[in-house]
Amino acid sequence: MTPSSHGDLRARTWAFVRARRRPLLAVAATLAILLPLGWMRQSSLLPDSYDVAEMGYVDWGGGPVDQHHGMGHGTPVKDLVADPDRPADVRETLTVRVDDDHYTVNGTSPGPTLEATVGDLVEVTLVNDNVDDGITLHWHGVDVPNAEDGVAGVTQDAVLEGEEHVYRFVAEDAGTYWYHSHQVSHEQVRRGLLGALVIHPAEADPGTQEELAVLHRYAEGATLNGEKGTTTVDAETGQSVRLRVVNTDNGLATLWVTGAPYRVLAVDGREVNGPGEIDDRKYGLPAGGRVDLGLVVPEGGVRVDFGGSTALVLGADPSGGDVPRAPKEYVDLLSYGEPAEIGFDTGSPDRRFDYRIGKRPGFLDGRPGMWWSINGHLFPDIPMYMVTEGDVVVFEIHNGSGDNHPMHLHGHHAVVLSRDGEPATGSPWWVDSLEVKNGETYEIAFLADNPGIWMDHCHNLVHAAEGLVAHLMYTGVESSFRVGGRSNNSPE
Amino acid sequence: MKAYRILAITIAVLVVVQAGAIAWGFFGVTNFINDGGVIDEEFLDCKEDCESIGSADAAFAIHMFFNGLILIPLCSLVLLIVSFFAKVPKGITLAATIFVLVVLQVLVLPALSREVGSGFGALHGINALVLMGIAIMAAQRAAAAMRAPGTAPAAV
Repeated sequence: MTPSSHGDLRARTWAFVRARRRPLLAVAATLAILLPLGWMRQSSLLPDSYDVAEMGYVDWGGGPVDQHHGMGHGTPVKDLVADPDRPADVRETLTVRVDDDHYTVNGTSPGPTLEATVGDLVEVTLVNDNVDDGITLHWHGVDVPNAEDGVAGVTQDAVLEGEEHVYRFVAEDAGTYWYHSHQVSHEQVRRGLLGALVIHPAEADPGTQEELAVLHRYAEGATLNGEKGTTTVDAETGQSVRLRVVNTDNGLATLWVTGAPYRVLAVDGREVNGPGEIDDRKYGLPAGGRVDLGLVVPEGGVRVDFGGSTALVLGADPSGGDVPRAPKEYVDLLSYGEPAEIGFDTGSPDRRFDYRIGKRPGFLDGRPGMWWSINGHLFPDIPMYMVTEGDVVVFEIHNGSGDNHPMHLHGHHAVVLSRDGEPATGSPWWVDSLEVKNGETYEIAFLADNPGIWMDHCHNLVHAAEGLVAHLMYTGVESSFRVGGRSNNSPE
Repeated sequence: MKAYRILAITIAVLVVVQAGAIAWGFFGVTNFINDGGVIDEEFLDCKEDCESIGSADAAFAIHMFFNGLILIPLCSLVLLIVSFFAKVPKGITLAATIFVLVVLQVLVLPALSREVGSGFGALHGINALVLMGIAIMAAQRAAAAMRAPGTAPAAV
């Protein structure tokens, strides 16, 4: 080949490219748009089954790194149980059915209220009568041993149709709690698979009237203990009442009291120290959260409103039946009550974690949309928070997502240290369900004293199903279960 | 060119549907509240088995999901890709502008309305009109290019 024929070839190639420059550029531009999208979609797909302990990336929170973690030397989750030899003090069987998308527990929704006294060993047999998807029970707010936590694919397999499962735990802390499914929870809880759990103190005050208000919104509307509208209960003038309120919904419930002042006696199953009288404030109860209100019934009666949809009247109705106007301001637990010891030093924590909640476009298991992010990452590429038993752990939760998030940590109670840099000055504010409003930053601390794998997620269960789910992992613990798989475990 | 024109017209029509749906939705909300209904966070966040506000449920589903979150973004993305192939004068610029305005409309303005002030919601309404105007302009350019003498009929 001569040099000139080389030149001809080049010229011809160039002419070919020039003649087709536009379509080539168009194809290149199309690929430049579609290839990254395709790659992002592909990398977001979840496998058919996976181990949550191998998901995302490990975050040691600035504490010591355990090189041996995940090498098969740990205690399996399924072995983290209550004393198997101890006989039960309280025994219950809860049978779950679904008919026309309505779930019932022993024939009702809410299910029966379980009651125990501090120190009791509670044993509950869950029976799945006819639920195709499988079910579980999570003991919301009770710091149970890990294997009893009821999270499908993490602490057990979903209980399939016709099967049963036994939960055993010691009722260690008096307070108001609830139980609900943690299998396909965004659907099953909403449709009624839930009930209350009350753990009474060893020495209850016999002079106090106990009332329970389980708030739940079904497709048919808002209810209080399963009833719509206003519920009236008898109460004598001068009677002191402890009203236990459970918010089983996905959004904040606003409570206000008309006719008498009230006190916040307990939050999320922990007593408030030195609760003062509240007169003209409403109370914001986070999704999943509980509050015990203390009231003394005045002569004209007292009325508690729940978001304007349902109300509880004790004695007479001081409003004469109309929905009374709600106070403008909320009770602020950051400065409510008297300070007290919390039992551990939060000054120099062993680990400090960030839990920054955002929202960004991307793919979630192949579905395009706007999804919640944790520390900038989308599920499942999210942090796994590693702790060692005995650690003092501080979390900084920042919400920059444009929506509010009731954050729920399983298996532990955390104490609020500060909000937006302002330190807590009231009673120790213990939470398992904390409302983190858009734009807020909370610093919370807890003692890692309950080994296992624990979900740390948004209890707006729709948000959880949209990927706002992380988990806390103890060193020396290994998984026993997988999400997906034979039981179709699907915790959210 | 034909596909370009059809997509541009479709986007303009879908914007009109958005305007109708949101007005329908808010009249429905007013009726719901007048009939004793309560709108709160639980209500706003509800995605399944929700309390019904009547026919206006469909209005919000159209505005905030099927049309607003899926159809319009998808059409604007496909229009951008089609514009690379269709020889519409300034066609790529117009399609890219439409795409940017859709991103502004779906992501940026709602975020600003939440984070900075609900006044940005007004820009959401105004931006919709600008978006519709540019989509119509793009459709007209494509139509003009198709009519122009000497233009070979093209598949795209």
